[in-house]
Amino acid sequence: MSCHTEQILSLSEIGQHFADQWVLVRLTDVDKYGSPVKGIVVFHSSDRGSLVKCTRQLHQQNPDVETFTFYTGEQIPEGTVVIL
Amino acid sequence: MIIRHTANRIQGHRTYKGVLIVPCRLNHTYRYCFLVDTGATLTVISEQVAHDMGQDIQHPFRYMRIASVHQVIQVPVIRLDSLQVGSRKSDNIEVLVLSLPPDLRVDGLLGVNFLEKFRVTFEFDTSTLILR
Repeated sequence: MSCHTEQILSLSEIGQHFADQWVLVRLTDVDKYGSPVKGIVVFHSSDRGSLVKCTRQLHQQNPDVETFTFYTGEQIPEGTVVIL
Repeated sequence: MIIRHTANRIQGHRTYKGVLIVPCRLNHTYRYCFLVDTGATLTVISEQVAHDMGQDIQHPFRYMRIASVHQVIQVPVIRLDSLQVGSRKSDNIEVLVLSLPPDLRVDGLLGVNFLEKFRVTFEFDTSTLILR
């Protein structure tokens, strides 16, 4: 669902507020290597596919916006071993 | 003359059983978490990432056969303007577009066609990928 807040949060704070969800974050701060540090949550959902429409709209409305999309919980569930 | 490149330390994190995941920047403005995969010939993005970026995967740059541990399938290959990890960037890079398993909650795999451009060190104890 979309967020009606402009609150800037660190990535760990985002993880606490939006546990076990996919989040679309409009970035406000990066570190010296360019890695994400802080941002504003624009959309969050347990369904990754539902972030697509909002991501496209955000980038179409503002081509310079930088976003970071990630899952806040365990990215590989306990008990799952990855062999690709 | 020896040219020494400054080490670029990318802070990632390790998930269950220790695989390393790092943030990656695509086409300058889109960032996602990718699993670092030295066993992947090409870098992979999920179908959702391709859709996020408005990429036309019905008319890809080309198709390529990929052999994974349990199947061989034909998948679209597209070309990104850039792929950046930390401050290390590769322009005009080819990526596969794949439907990743839902339980794998990352948006791509960072493969050899990116990693080979650098001297790569894994620091598993600090969850850090070092690119020189």
